Amino acid sequence: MYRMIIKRLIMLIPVLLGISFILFTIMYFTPGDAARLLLGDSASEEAVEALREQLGLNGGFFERYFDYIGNIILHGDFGISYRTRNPVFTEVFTRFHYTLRLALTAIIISSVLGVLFGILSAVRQYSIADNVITAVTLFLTSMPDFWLGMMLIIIFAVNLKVLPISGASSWECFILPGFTAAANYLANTIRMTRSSMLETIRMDYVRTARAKGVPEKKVIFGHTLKNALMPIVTLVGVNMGWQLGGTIIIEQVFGIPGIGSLMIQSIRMKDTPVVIGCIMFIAFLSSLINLATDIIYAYIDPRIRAQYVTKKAVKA
Amino acid sequence: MKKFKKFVASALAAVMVLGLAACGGGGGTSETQAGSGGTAETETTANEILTQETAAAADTSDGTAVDSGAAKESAKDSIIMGYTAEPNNINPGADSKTNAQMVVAMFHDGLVGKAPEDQSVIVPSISDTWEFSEDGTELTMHIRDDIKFHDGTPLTVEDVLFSLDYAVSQGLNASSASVLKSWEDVGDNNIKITLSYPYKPVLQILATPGYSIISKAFYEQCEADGTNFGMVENGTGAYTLESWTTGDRMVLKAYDDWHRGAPAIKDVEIRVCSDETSGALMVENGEIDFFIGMNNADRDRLAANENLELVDAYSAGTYIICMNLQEGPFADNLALREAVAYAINREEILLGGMNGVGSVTPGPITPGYFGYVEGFEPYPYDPEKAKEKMIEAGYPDGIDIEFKVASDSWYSLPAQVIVEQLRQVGIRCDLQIMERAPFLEETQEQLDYEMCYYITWGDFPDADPVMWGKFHSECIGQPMMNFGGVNDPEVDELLLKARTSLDDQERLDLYAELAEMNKENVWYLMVLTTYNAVVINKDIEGVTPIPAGYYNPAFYYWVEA
Repeated sequence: MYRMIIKRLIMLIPVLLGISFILFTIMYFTPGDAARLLLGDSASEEAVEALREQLGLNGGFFERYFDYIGNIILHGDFGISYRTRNPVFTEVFTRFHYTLRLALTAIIISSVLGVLFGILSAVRQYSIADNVITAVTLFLTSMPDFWLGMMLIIIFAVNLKVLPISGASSWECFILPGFTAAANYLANTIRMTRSSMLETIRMDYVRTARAKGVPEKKVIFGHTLKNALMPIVTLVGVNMGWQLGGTIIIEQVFGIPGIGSLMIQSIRMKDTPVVIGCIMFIAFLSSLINLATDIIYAYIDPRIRAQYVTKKAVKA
Repeated sequence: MKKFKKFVASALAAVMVLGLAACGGGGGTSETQAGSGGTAETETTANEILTQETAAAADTSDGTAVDSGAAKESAKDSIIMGYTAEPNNINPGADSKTNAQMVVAMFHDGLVGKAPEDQSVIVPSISDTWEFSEDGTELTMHIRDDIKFHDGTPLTVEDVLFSLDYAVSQGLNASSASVLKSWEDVGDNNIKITLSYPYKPVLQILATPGYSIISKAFYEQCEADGTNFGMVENGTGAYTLESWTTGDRMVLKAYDDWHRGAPAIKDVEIRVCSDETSGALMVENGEIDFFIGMNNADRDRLAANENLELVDAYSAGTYIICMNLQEGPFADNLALREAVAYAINREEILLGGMNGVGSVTPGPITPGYFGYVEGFEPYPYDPEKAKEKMIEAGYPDGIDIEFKVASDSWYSLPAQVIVEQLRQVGIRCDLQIMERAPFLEETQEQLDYEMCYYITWGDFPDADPVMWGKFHSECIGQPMMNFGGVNDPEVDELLLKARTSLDDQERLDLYAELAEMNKENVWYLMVLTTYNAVVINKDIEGVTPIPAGYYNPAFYYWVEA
């Protein structure tokens, strides 16, 4: 198990290097000049040139890339934001907790409601409740985030005035974006829970449990759900990774100053160090979450855990 | 209904609690604390000083006696403002965005200020009196000795000289900095600024936020300890920076010892709205009191809201059609340029491209700016005449041209109307809607275009920066400057004369003559100017239209809480 964890962590290094190279290449070759964007249209060519020199934008592609990567590897320095002149690390961590709050809110909503409605849908298969839930999941899957977000704003913030339109100053601000971000994953979780439960519910051991007279609640939550949980855990893990990197549009719609907003701002200003910093950070976190999912998977399912037992341990 | 609302909020909130509890707090790390705002003692109020010195000021500037001080009694002492574009930093002269300059002006003062009621009127600020030499090339300014920075340290002549050194080194001030040749301490708290040439609007330059007076000691301290000078402030302005949560909000606190009088509004919060639509909804909903950045599409709805008021300021910019005079089909073909001039219908462009918000602009200078030519007549809209000109230009079967425009809606939408108008006279445009950065590079620096649609801009309300930049041959190839490529020695001479003249009427006549020359030669086709409207709560008073967009709550007050 430990070997697997260490191996996966080592594998992260080439992945992150690859990401940095691809992003640097894209940012380098797309048109636009960070110095000009920063100083504005009216700045003189001399001033722009001086800023270019100061920011180190005059070097060639490989010179700049290796300088950048060298600083990361040798000094752990991800550079300075062209826009604010703050260290990239400060920029990313200043914004990260907003994205984390949003992602966790969405994950909790989608997991809790998804599993509950999924179970309801499975145990009441073909009932009115099942049909309604199926229709709602279809709606949630089909609607684009930005549209759903705007609709929620119009209903709950503009008309009912019970929640704020935008911002991140209080917990209320995360309710609407949390639901918007959760919508798609909620639908997926419901469908996944439903099909997994239906598959498990027909197993012999469930029938045996019922035959033994085990109460229905215990059959559902104790026997069926526990065994149906495997694919749901994977889905939640994958969702979490997606949420951390995929809330850009939601952050924009709801004015949440998270990593997504920072990325958009930085891309517009060609702030290369921040763009690369943000995406590497998200990639790193997503990899860790995937790893954690695998570990939890092994913990839940003894068959998976057995795969990681070394030959030495088996012999002993 | 109330119960239902409570229920909805509680139900939605219940699911949230776990998530937020899991990651709680966190906000602390995101805030940048301001340089400590100290207490300062000012024995004489700004209004008293003004009364003492207005005569001197009025003699030496274009100003009339106005109230330069901060606001009256307010029914409420806080305001929440919202904008869609957050400053990159608050270092004076470093970020060209209007909002950045607006915020800088809340923290800092210039040597002179502007009257809140009329931005063209200069009023005393750090300097209380000033005097021009007879030939207009030397400006002696007296520096007040009773002003303190927010950290409590007194402002000195050394700070002023350092600030001028700093300002001219900033990219944003590059074009105006050439006016200032040197500056020195001449004793008795006076400084002498020597100008490169006589320049009547020099006080307007010194009143822009790019020329804010900063503390030398504070700047050096930031340099020494590695503090990012762009994220903190220690000015002498109306407000101090309490905290800045980037991407979210700035919190400002009134500096009660401000030399123009303690602001009536003590607490200011400036929030970042995710876009124009959100901002409009927030101001409608009462989440913010003051919104900068309204979209024209929301205008009618917001104007109809009885709780809100629109404050219209003419934009400091004029939108123009530019034809490349250096190379391509328009160079050396006046008839073809005239065909374009006759083919465009400004009213239609305003209506179709800007929702009718603004006014058509025949001349090169925005209304309200010194040099605006009253009653200037542009080419009339005459498609038949345009077709005749096409034949005269040697294109009886029409011509295909490349038309470049930046992707922002305020450029791309009017451009689409122009394309259709030109098509009707046989000018077939290949409309290229581009990202702003490559658009600027190709059209402004490389002059790699045939026709484009962009804007002229003047930081302060005088014709010189716009006219010099747009028409002088030395500005060819400089961004926002002479990207048409006008190269005429006679024009250069007139521009120099207008720039250095100390006689207002002579300057006005010269700019009118230049506008006429531009019309005759069809160098640039001025199309329209729009409003930069701000939307405010109707109970806020004291808000006057500011074309450059530097709104300052120090001059506002609430009539009702």
